[in-house]
Amino acid sequence: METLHFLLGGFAVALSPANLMVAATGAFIGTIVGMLPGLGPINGVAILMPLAFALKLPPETALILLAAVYMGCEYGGRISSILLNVPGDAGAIMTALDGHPMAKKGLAGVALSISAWSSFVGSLIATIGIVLFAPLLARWALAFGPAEYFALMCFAFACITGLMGDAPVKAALAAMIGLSLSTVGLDSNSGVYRFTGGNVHLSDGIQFIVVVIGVFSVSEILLMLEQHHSSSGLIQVSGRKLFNLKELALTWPGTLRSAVVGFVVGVLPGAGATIASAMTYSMEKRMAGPDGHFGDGDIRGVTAPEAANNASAAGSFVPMLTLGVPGSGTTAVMVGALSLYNITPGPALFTQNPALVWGLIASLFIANVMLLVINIPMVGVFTKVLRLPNWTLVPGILAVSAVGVYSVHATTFDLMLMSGLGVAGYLLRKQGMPMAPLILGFVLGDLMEQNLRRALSITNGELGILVESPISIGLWIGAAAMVIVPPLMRLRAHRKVAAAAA
Amino acid sequence: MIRKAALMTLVLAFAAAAAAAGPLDKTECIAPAKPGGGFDLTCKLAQSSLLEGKFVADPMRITYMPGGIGAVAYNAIIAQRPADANTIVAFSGGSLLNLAQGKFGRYNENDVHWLAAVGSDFGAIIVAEKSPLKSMKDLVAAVKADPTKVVFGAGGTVGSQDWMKAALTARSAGLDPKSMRFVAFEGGGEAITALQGGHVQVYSGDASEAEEQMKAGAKIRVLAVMSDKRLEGRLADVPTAKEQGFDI
Repeated sequence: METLHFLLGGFAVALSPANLMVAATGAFIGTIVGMLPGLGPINGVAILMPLAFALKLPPETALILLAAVYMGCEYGGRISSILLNVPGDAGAIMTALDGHPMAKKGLAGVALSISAWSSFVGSLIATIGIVLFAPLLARWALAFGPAEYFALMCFAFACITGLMGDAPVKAALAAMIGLSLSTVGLDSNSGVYRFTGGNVHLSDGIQFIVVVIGVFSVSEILLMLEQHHSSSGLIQVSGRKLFNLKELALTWPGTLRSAVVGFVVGVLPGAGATIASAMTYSMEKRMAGPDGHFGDGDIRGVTAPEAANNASAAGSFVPMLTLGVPGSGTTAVMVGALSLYNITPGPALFTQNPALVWGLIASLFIANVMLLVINIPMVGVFTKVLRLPNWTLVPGILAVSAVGVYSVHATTFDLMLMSGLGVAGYLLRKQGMPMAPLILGFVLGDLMEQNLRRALSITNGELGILVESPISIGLWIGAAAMVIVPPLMRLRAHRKVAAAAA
Repeated sequence: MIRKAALMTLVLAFAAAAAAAGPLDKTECIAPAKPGGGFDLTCKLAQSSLLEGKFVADPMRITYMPGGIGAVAYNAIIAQRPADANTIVAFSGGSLLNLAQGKFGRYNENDVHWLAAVGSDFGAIIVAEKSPLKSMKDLVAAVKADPTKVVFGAGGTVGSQDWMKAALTARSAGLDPKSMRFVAFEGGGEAITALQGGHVQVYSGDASEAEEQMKAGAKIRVLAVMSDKRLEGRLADVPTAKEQGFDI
């Protein structure tokens, strides 16, 4: 009952005209950003975050904007997957496998509408999941002391490296770079400057926003200038625009299953939409058995990953709101956005700032309805944007990024650091290094260090405290499983393939 | 005897000029800790009094910049934002102590304008509501029995004002302050959260912080206040340390 009361309060916040408009704008921008190949939710949120701050939006409005962009991206990614066979963002990679063949068969309209529908169902189920589980977890969060937090962060890093599929070592390296960057600046315990090189601008550390904009936006711009994607392969939407009841009935169970799996994966810290959509795609493929034609335009291959990537995006809000530990790269950027507003996400947020938390949750429901409306009838508008060459976006992104970085501290040093980090990020990405672990490492680094220090000062340096409570033991076991199990699974799958070939 | 009251002070970056006619706009107060502690309170006091007196056009924005009881904010305001004339930083006797000890890096007390002392606060010994410790005597007995079982949390590091309070308590009871377990948090808000979660057993913080947090529903109890006389308001029932036989 209490939850319902808070949720109604949240709707009162989310339904204010300004917040409604912001949610609609965010949903629209998000769909476009998600659709454009190369730009994903992290970029969208990273570019808009400083803008929202510079526009002096109140914190709940800013967060609603960023959340709508995030959800919008998960919707938008499917459009270019289906029509161009180029995934708009990482969460939509799986959608291309069956979405594009469907479009080639003249079913582009059906694929677009049913995937919008399953995205809607995925977000809706996951948002209900937030309402049910987040307050429970927030109450439980008091049991998280320094030792538990440290274990939780180790678990998050294990998730990142274990689940990053093909490049676990690169993901681990990226996380290390992020951790190292977070140590720059004045050590608050001893007053010693660390790695500042005597530069006054580094004395209070590297600003979060500079790192995010540098490694995501600036490096993205460099990549965009390098690779031109052509819109020549764009398939026209023709024929039937809407799915029929038979198609709905066929996909319904898979959509529900995928939404639940997506939500659970999203809640795990570090694991996001990419993993959720890949997992549910192969799950549905296995369950369909011989009567599926996955890879050749099976409609279930479009709905499952779309339901999952939206559900995991919503699910990743749970650890962010309750424990202050982001569940995905995008929510890591949002944590940074909140810290610009002096709001520390964590267990206290639910009691200290209910308007913000419940306003955000309510706005997820509202943005989701808006996105469904935007994405089914108005899909034609978005396909026109896909005809624009990518490089036309570069000046706009660069200008918004630079203004955002400058507005925080008003020093040109930050702009230079942003450019330097951008070039470094570009080089790392050329080597196939993922950037999301770097950002998570940077965000979590300080928390991790402080909590380890606190835990050890409770026991005077005795390491035993780290494995004392049931929560930390559970987290350590989970972390070990995350590191060990996926490689074993890959090895087994590899053997199977080899055996089948022989 | 050491002065017990922690001064709440406001600081302005050195290059900035404070004199201006009419209400100021875009004012900002930096609280160098996470929300919910004494610095937050200092800023809120400045915010409400300046607004009531019509010295500022809009409510003063409060920014939180945790790190080293003011060290990070001190460095930021001097190095990064010397031109922000309408920005003030909340400071405490505790940060002053760290500044004097050189824990703030390269800057010293001459790099800023010291504006005003807003109020004074008294130390307090705080435990969780469900704690078995009911008085200072219980606390001292527990520390004597096993110092590793009674962990002190505080809004600052060893050597800070909060640590001093814990150390003075220990010394007045004839214990070695070095045997105490001591954990540093970013401001009183975090320490009180850890207190409620049972991760630390005692918090040697400030009376005003405790009062604010209890108002907000925190499940904590104040064992003693470190003032000469009992305080007014919500904490009127709390005995002073002196009453309980500890001259701190």
